[in-house]
Amino acid sequence: MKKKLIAGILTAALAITAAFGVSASAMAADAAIGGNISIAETADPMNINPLYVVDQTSFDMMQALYAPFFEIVKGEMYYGNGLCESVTANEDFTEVTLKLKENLKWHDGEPLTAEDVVFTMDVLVDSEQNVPYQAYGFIDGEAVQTEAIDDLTVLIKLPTSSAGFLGGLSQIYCIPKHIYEGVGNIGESELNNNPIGNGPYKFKEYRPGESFIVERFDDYFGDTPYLDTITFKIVKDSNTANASLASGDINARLISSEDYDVVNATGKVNIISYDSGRVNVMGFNQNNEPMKDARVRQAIAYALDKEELVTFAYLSSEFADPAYSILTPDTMYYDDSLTQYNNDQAKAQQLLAEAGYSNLSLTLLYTATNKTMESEAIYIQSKLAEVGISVELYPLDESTYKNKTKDREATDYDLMLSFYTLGAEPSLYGDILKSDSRSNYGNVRDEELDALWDKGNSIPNGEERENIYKEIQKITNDNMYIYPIAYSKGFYAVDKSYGGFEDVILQTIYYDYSKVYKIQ
Amino acid sequence: MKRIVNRLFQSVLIMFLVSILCFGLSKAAPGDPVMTYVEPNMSEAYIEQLREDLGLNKPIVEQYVIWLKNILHGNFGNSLMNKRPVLTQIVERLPATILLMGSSLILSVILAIPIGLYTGKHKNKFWDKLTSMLSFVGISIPTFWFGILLIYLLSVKMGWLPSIGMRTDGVNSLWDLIRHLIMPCAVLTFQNVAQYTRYIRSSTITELSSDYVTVQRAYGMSEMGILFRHVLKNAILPMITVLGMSLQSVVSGAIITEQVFAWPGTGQLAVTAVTTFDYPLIMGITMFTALLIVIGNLLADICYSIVDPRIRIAKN
Repeated sequence: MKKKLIAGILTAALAITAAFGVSASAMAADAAIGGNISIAETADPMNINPLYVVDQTSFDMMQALYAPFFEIVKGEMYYGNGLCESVTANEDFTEVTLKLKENLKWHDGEPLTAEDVVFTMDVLVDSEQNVPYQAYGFIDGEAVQTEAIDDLTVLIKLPTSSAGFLGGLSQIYCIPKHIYEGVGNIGESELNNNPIGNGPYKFKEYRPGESFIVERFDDYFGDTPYLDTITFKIVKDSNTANASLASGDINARLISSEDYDVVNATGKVNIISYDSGRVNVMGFNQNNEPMKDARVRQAIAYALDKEELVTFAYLSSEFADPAYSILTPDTMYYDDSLTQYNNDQAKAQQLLAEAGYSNLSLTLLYTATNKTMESEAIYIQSKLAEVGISVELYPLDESTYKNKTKDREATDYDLMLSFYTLGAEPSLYGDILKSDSRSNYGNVRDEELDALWDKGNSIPNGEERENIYKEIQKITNDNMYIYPIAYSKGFYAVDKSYGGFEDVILQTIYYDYSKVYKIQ
Repeated sequence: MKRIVNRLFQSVLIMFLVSILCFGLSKAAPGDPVMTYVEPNMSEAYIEQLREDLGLNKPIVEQYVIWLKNILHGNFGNSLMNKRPVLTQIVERLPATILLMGSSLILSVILAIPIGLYTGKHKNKFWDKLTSMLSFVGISIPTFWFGILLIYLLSVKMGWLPSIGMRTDGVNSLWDLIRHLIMPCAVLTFQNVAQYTRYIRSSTITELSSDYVTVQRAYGMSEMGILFRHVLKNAILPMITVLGMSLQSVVSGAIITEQVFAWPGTGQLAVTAVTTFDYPLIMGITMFTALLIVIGNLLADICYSIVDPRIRIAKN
């Protein structure tokens, strides 16, 4: 799940702890206590256990049940809805101390202590347990070691210094030791069907194909949640979901930009837009000969008019901004001064001639059901035709597309449309470009770049680290390894009779459902 | 009796062939099931483990044999998607599907018989022409479009009926269930009635021109008597075949209708299974459906020989 990757951290921000604190929000003036909200989901959850969540639906539901240790909001530590009161690191970033809030409880009434955190971290790095996110518990192939100092204090020892570690840790959610201790295969355990969490809402009922219901947890450590229940309704068809939003059978839903006008026209919802952190890109498959030549990739970039492409594919300039770096603007060390390849057909033709290609014929892979990608593809096809490159469109259904793009030997496409969401920590973006990464969709093999990614991940923040990531952005841009298209926005449509959603979407991956309320 | 045993034997053979075909096809489909569950931050070791756990490292014939053995022991395996047993998942979706498909099937037959008889009797009159036109609309109208149209009219505009799901949370009344059932059931019934009416109408026309009807008329029997006491019996015979074929749908569900109305039935489950390469679940649902088609046809054959003496005699 793309959304699940994420996050990063300023070491300096570690000092700021109480600043955000539990202050959260005083009770909203117009808020009612009680009631239910129905939130639409597109599929049944696969696995609600937070260490094994891989799909969007499970992730959305899991967040009502489990609280994170802490969050990183725009590069700053945020403890408001987290289990931790503070997180501190020693100077060389080899030891991280987590201090838990007092009186934390599991949904079955048992106390949540440092032992649960140690247990969770041990499960994370236990190769027998096959936790999908176990990479977060390893640094340079070596596992971190976790111990409890007292009931509320946990010490995590890192094998080597890693500034990126907290980014990963913010993705890990605590699981109860008293429930899972001694279970051989936690991921496939029946216990996951009756989740015991620590978040604002506890599990009530799951009706397959229909709904997943959670109810208020009275011993929640944060401000008391407003609503009695949250019903996640499973609605696969987006037209139906839009109609149900209008009829009031559904109260909130994540919508795409194509739905924006339809949903807005009903007059019954507020649409909250937020930076999705998503970078939409075109990749060049370097398994294929013409794509190995930097001049061909540059020529393609020159042939396109990015602003026009973004307006055409994203319908409105309000829905997306043209992207010029592989990092998002709020990622640490984002460089806004990169060379912009833009709408220079003469230059494109000249580069193609230099590379010795004429009448180039390329195949462009994308997801058939994604209307934005389809528009991007159509634009690219017609624009490249102007410089003599013919593009054959290669739309695939989502699962097949996903399969295809994960195949590092694939040669049946030259260009591919894709997107990724990796957060504010720059080291995480290595995923899409490092030679040995599975998500290296362009099959880029650049040893100099690999060395830079490795180095950037292992040194503390500062000028040297900044220079490394600026260099990475420059090399990627100069070689045109990836063509960034747009930073697109996300939209959450919410029934006008509900409030608090501005606080729910903290512009990160976590939704804090305790802030949602029904307007009196 | 011998014939029935023969048919049973044939059915088993058909099921076996269907299983080979389905298994082969689901394996031949492009894409690797494992890759559907892989996320960029998962380790290689985890992926290998996953592949091994799913038995995907073995040659396809061996995978089939293992699968077949399990099936014969009543073990349909676990879904790749959520690790839950396939059979449990199918069974828990059955009540919703049986309710929806069963009620629409019964309603369709109840409506189609009088309409079919009436239009057959009054061939080419106003009502026949109108019904024919509506039938063609019913047969050709896309389900998803009709469904959304109903939702728009009855839920969004009028606010009379709930647009999705099977019940309101916290409400456990029969009336609530019926309110949820009305629209999806209407969509399916409209389609079914359109089809069934055509069958009954045409067989009514054929029967009305038969000699026995002329004889009855000569005896002075009333038109109503002829229609209901004699023609009806013969005119609904083709319905046995049609219903036999429809039996599987009571369990396999209506994929599009269930999707549009977010009805938690087996049709929805099938879509999810296909889109996530969940082949144990795909195989489970396909085999279940195939079994019911075979049973449905068998039952139709048996019913035929019971209600239609001509067939029984011809065979003997």
